[in-house]
Amino acid sequence: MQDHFKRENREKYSYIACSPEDVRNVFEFVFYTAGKTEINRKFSDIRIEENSGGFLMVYVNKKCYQVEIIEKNQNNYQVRVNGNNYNYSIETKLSYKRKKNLNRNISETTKHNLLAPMPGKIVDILSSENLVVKKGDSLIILEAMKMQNEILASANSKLIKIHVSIGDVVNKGDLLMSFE
Amino acid sequence: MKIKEDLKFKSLLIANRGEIAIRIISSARKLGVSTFVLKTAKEPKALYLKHADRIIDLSENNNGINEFLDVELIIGIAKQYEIDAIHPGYGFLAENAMFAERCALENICFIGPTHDVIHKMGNKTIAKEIAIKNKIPVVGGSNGAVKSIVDALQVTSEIGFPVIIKASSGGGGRGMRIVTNADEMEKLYNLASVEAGKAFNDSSVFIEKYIRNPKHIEFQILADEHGNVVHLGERDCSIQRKHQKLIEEAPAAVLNSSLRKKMGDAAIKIAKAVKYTNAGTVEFLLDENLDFYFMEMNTRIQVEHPVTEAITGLDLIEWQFRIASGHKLSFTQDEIKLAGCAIEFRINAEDVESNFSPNQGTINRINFPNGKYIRIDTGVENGSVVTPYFDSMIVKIIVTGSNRLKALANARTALNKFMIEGVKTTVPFFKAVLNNEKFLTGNYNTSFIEKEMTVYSYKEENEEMVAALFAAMDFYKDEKLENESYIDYKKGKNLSPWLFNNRLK
Repeated sequence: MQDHFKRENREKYSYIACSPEDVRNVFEFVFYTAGKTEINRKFSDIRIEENSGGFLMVYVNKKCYQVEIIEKNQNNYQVRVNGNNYNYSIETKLSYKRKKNLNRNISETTKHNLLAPMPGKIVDILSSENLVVKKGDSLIILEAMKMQNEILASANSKLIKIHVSIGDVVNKGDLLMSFE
Repeated sequence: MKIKEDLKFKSLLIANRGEIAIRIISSARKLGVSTFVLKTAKEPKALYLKHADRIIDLSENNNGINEFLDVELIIGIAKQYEIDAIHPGYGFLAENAMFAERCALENICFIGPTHDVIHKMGNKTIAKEIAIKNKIPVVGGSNGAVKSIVDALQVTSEIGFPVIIKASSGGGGRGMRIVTNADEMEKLYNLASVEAGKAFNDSSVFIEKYIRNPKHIEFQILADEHGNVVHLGERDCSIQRKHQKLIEEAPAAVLNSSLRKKMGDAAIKIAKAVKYTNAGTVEFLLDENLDFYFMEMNTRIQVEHPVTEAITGLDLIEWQFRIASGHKLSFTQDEIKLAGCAIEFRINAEDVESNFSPNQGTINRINFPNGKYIRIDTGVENGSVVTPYFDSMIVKIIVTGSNRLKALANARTALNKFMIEGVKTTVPFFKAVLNNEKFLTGNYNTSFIEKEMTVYSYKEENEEMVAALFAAMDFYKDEKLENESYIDYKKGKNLSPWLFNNRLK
């Protein structure tokens, strides 16, 4: 790791972009300081341009995509491509290996949390603690912009704790529920 | 060239915001009317403010009532500034009979029908009775709560299965059950009633004929104060999610001219029955056998009015002004020609992938498609802020074509050229719809989103990889900058990756 950051005048930098939802979903990139790029070990024709409107456009194999970085927290990124959001963490070979091992140990019984996707008011809670919820079940009705937004379960899991009550006003990212 | 007409009013207060305020201003300006808008603390830099002749600053107003819903505040302003007329737009006070009545009492010209008509058509029970009296088909049902299973079966024997049981004080699908035969009634009635009681603290339910997979077809009408009423054809608004329209088109692909005439005549009949004046919309459900049922009448200009303007060549807001000034319609039903096809896409600041939840933020950059076949009605520009205070619709893209196929092709081009930075929008959803065979045939109904769409968001090939690549490049840029001595750190912070990339080559 240390070596990776310190070495100057390097010829190439290698990274692994890995999806936080699935560590096996990865892309490997090698950037050569001379300008070439490898994607998954193949040289690829890549161009990044700011178009006349100031939008960042990525051209890969002659196809064009509008890109925008939405969030960046150290090596964790949320990138919007053509209006859709994607999350990736950028790892070196070493940090990726560690991440994969770590992930294997936690396995599927890990706790996970439901966070408020937007600021709003909790108008209804449609589940209760110790219930097993199915993917797609309605959990909470969050009112924002005068709209009632259903928040759905993203996976089959057991609801172990509800952290909010009806009438609470929450901010984006506030903890709503915990599952295991 | 400024066409000035003899209107009843010289000045107009627009009791609305966003794209519709701008839309109204553009027609007012054409007819030589000066425009006033309201500035609120919630949107001090909104685009509509830049279009108006005069801005009335309500930034200091903090009586707790939304400015656009505050009847006395708006009436008071009209009086204070001696403004002759008020256009309510859509939403807010547009269908508030009390507001229209207050305008009339103060001698302010309300652009819309009379308060009496707004009241009648706003009350679903009265509106339904008027339709029945005029032999317009309506969705049959119990007309109020049913008291028992026996009652429920009695109603059903009159209207036939399937029926839907709905919570009297309900909404959002809870307390609703579809009953297809008499054996199920007891069980489902009890379920619906208990659920309604839990959800809304009111266990009463009513029964309605259940229309399977209906289309939402509405007719635009114009009615002057001299008894002339015309319809301007229909709009198909069946692409809806939770009763929120997302795409509207005119004409509806499934209507032939004889059905159009039948439904159009029904719309006119209802308008005449209530002595309707100004612009309005009669909404129908159209079932799979092409039988139609009156649903309700909207007594305002609607969000989707541009598709009708596109196929008729009429400016509906101008006509609202003329009608409100007592002018006669200058054309008869026979003279109205519907030409081509128009489709409207409501660009909402919403996250399609998280259940269409509102997506707030600053629009860093926005680029509209342009061309002969594209009309943009926008409420935002570069730098606009999407706030949590108002609805999430920011732009309407209206595309036309000489026929539906061409309009669809133009829609694809337009949506591909639309670009925005800073908020997520419904554009990927529209691209997915435009890739759906069922939509392309025109034979879709209100269950389309739920039943026909497996993915809500269109994704270009390799989008995931491009996202990963761009993140990796950004990370690489930061890491490389740290390693390089010649970098200007002040600038480096804002260095866009493409510039960096160019420097490397």
